[in-house]
This record gives sequence, C-alpha cells and structure tokens, in this order.
Amino acid sequence: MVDKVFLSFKLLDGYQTINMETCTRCGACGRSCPAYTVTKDDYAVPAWKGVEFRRLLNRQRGFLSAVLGQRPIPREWLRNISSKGLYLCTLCGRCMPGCVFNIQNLELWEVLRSIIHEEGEASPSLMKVSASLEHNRNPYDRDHAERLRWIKELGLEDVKTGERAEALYYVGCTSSYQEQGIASSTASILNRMNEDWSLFGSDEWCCGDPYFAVGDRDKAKEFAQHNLEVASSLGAKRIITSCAHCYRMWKWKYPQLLGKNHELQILHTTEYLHECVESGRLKLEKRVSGKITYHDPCYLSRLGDVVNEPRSIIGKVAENYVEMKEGKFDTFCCGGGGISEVVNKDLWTKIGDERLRQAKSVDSEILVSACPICRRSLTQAAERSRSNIQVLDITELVAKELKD
Amino acid sequence: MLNYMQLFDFSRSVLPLITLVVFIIGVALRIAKWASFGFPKMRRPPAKSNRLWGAIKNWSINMLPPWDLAGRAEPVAYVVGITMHVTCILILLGALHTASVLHILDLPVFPSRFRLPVIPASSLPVTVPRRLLTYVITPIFLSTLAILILRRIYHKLRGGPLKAVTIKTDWIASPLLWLAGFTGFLSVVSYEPHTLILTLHLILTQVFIMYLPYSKLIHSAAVFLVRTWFGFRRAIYGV
Repeated sequence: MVDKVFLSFKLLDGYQTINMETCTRCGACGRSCPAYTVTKDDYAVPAWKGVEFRRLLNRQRGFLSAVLGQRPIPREWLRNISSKGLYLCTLCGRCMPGCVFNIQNLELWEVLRSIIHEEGEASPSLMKVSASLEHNRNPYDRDHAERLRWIKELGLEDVKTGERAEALYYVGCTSSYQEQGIASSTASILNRMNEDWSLFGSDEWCCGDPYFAVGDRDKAKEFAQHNLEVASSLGAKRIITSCAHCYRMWKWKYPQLLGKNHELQILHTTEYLHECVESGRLKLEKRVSGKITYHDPCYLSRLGDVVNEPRSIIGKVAENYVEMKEGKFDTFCCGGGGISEVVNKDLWTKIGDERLRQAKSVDSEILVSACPICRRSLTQAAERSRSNIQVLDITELVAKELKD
Repeated sequence: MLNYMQLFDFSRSVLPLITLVVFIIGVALRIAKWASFGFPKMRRPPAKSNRLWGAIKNWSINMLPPWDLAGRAEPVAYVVGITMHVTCILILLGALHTASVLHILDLPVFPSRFRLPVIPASSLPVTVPRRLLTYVITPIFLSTLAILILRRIYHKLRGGPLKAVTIKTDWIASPLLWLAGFTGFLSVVSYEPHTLILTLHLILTQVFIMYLPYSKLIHSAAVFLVRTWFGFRRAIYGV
C-alpha cells in the first residue's frame, strides 16, 4: 500500500502562492543560481523546486481538488523532492533578482523545507544538524561548553562575558568554533574603541539560522526568544555581530518570528567599523599595498543591504582595491549557506572553488569577506587549490592594521 | 456538420460568450485559491525606505533582470525573451486589437446579436503604424517566440536548465500563443474578412484567453503584483 499524507501548508500564505504561480519555468533562475552554475545538475535549477512545490499544492488545493476534494500526497514524492534538488541550494537568494518576474523564491524554499521537515523527510545530515542544535546549541556537533574556549586559547581572559553592558558582541557558532580569529579580532577592535561591551557568555545560543535550512521554524523561534531574553537581561542596547547570517536573523528574522519589533540596534561589524571611522574614533591608514578584493556575503549584501560600508573601510586601509565581477547585490555565493558544508560538501566545495576562481581572475592577493562562513569556505577553497591568495575577514584586516 | 462560414459565425458570436464565462470562472477560482491561503503568516519588518518608491524603482530602473545574473550565461535567450514580450505587448496595443476591444466595450450589456467586429483595415485608428506592426513587429514576435519554444525542446532533449523544469502544460501555452499569432499575421497580410484563417485566429485566440487563468499564462496578470511586492521588499531591506 502506498504511504500517503495530507500536508497542512500552514506556513504558506496567499502572497507566496501568487509568487509561486507566476513562474513560467523560463530557466533564468538556473543561470543565476550558483548551485546550478557549478553542478549543471538539472534538479539544482531553482524553478524545479517551484515545480514540485506547485505539484504538491495542486494535488491538495488545485482546481481539480475544488471538484474532487483534496487528494493525499504519496510520501514518495516528498522523498523525491528531498533527495533530488531541495538541498542543492545554499539559500543565497540569488534566484530572486535573477528571476525575470522577481519571484521571492527564498521564502518559498524555506516554506518547502518546513513542509518536508514536518513530514519527517528532511535530509538525514540536516537532522544531525538539528540534533546538534538541540543538544549543543550549535550546528557543528561541538560541545556547548567549548563555545568560549577561544577566549582562553587566544589569551583574552580579560574579556567580559555575560555581564551587563551597553553593547553585546554576538559571536555566533562559526566564529566560536571554527573561525576564532574573527572573534578575537572583533574583541580587540571593541577593546580598542573603549566600547562598553560584553560577550553573551555561556548563554549564547546559535542564532537559529540553521533551523531555516532544516525547516524547523518553531525551534528557530525558541532560539530567537532565548537570545533576545539574554540580551534583555544584560541590559544591552545594541548587538554587534561579525556573522552575516546572525545579522540577518537578529535584524530581520527575529521580529518576524516573534511577531514584534525589539528595541535593540543590530549592527554588523562592518557597520560598526564604518560608524567608528565616520565619527573619527577609528583612524585607519592605507598600509596594505597588495591587490585586494571583497566578497560580499549574500546575507549581508543581497539580503541585508550592507554593501558600501565594507568597501569604504577597505578603501581606507588598502591602496589597491579591485572589484570582483559578480559582486554587491548580485554577489556569487561562497557555498557555505544552508549549512552546505555539512549537508552537501560537494556543492560547498564547488561553489567555493568557483568564487575563488573569480577572485583570482582579478589578480587579487588578498580576498576579504565579512562573514565567518564565507571566510571558511573561501579559505578551504584557497587551500584546496594551493593558491597564494590570502583570505581574511574584514575584522582581521582592521585588527591587523590597529596592531601594526 | 458545420461549414466554415457557420464556424466563423460561431467564433464571433457564441464562442466569445463561452470564452468570457470560462475566463471569469478561471479568474475567480484562481483568486479564491490565493485568498484561501490568507495573509502573510510572518510579520513584515519595518521598511528601511519608502515602499512606493521601491515599487516604482522596480518597475523602472530595475525593470530588466541584471545582465550578470540572467543574461551573460545565455545572452540569446535574454535578448529574445525580452524582445518577445515587448513585441507581444505592441501587437496587443496594435490597431486591430484595440479597435476590437473598443468595439466590444461599446456593445450593450445584453446584446441580442453579439458579434465580434470584423473591422476593415482602412478604417482603423492608428496606434502602432500598421505596416510596421504587420511586417516588422509581428514577424519578430513570431520568430522570438519560436526560438523560445525551440530552446525548450533543445534543453529537453540535450540538457540545460529547462530539462527538469519543463512540464506537460508548457507544450500548450507557448505553441498556442504562436499559432494564434501566426494565424493573426496571415489573416492581416491577406486581409479577407471571411476566410478560414481568420476563423482559426479567432478560435485560437479565444482558446488562449480561456486557458489563461488556468495556466502559467496567469503570469501576465500576476507579474504586476509580484514585481510590485519585490519593489516593496527592496524598500524593506534597502536593496
């Protein structure tokens, strides 16, 4: 007997349905999609997810169902979507500006992931991420107790943790566990600026962004609630984060998930640095002579509108800045979105390699980004290709200048 | 058995009424379907800049998809796709079509002898110059639409971004539009009102209109909402 289910579509709204039904399957999204560009896998074309989503929808809520009634969906369909193309996607949102109609695909993919997750058909590797988030409060299956280990390892014991402060530095999981150089650089900049700041301490949980990749919105909400409560209990007025994904969660997704605005000012480190430079608190000199380029993190540029600030800062420390071809709002993904490193390593590798190739094509010696996930993806790509290109986060670039 | 004069008469009298009913039911069902999902479940964040301005920008300076994203990898499809849509709009705005619509709007609400007009070309109001429309714009439209259909066939057979996303109904919408356009072109270049070709044009066009709300052709209306909303999104996020 064929196993069939009825889907609730509870997260889908009319606005998203109209977006979905506007697709003409012209394939333009495929040309803009980093996953399709590097894999040429037919199922990586974003419209394929739209086709399948619409198929599910029409089965239960289509024209025929108005006459014949809602028809259940074979579980096999869900498995098919999950195994073929749903996760051939880094959730970078590049298919939206690439679509001739500007269909807001990213929201649709998030809802589709939620439906698949709800029916227990999410990718096993994503379920491992989910389990890690549940037990360790981070997606990397690392012990929560290790979250602050970077402080000791880098000799920053004097940093305030979990204390009342005007500004809180939200480190995020990738900087806490993998790219600690970014965390220490940000900490040293905040100290240098004499900021009244503290870390969240052991109460810092993942921002919840990976739950959007998993498709578990309830859990994302729980994590949002927790982090906001901690920030409130520490009397913070502003949150500074060095991660583009955490920035998007705090700034855009938390108010959406909780249904109300918070009073906190959310700043990405690039915005903070720009503010310091503009107010004259931070003076930078042009000491970097090598050819330097900047990779826009998707969640900071296309999905966050922070494009000019990082360029302004780099322009203040480097003499020889060169722009990459696919940058700013149309930036090419680094491969790291959607927890691809864990879910689909092959995709993560290929997209990272392609972005590095683009950086090398402008003869850059230093590749700067502003997100720990991008830094990791691009560093790994540079190591794989044994390239001499130096991959840095913008905080590392500035912290280095301050030290010198 | 109908002879083709009777068919011609049918295509101008009864068929338009059927078309209207089928079209209205389709639109109503489509709107009911959209409405059944309700308003956004997630709260929209406060906008960074003016939403209306965002929408205006999305309909003007951001009208065309960025070349880097949609064009560079497949420049022919990019140019052909845009050209097809522009020429299609020009044809719809063309003299014959605007005159037909104006005539229909002029009809009494319950016409006893409803007939779609057969308007002599010489008495047409000039909107798009007729020769330009017939001998330049229409052939461009037909060629570009044919290229897009052939592109889908090519991708389906040889691989490409359309291979997995093409579904059965994709083989209805565009060929139907092409046939409606081609018969329209033929009926204009050999203008004889009571010809089989004009009958075919009327039938195909009305089938196209009936099919519109039930198919992907709904994008011709939904695009106004979607692009405007994306303009709002740009305003919300500042991008």
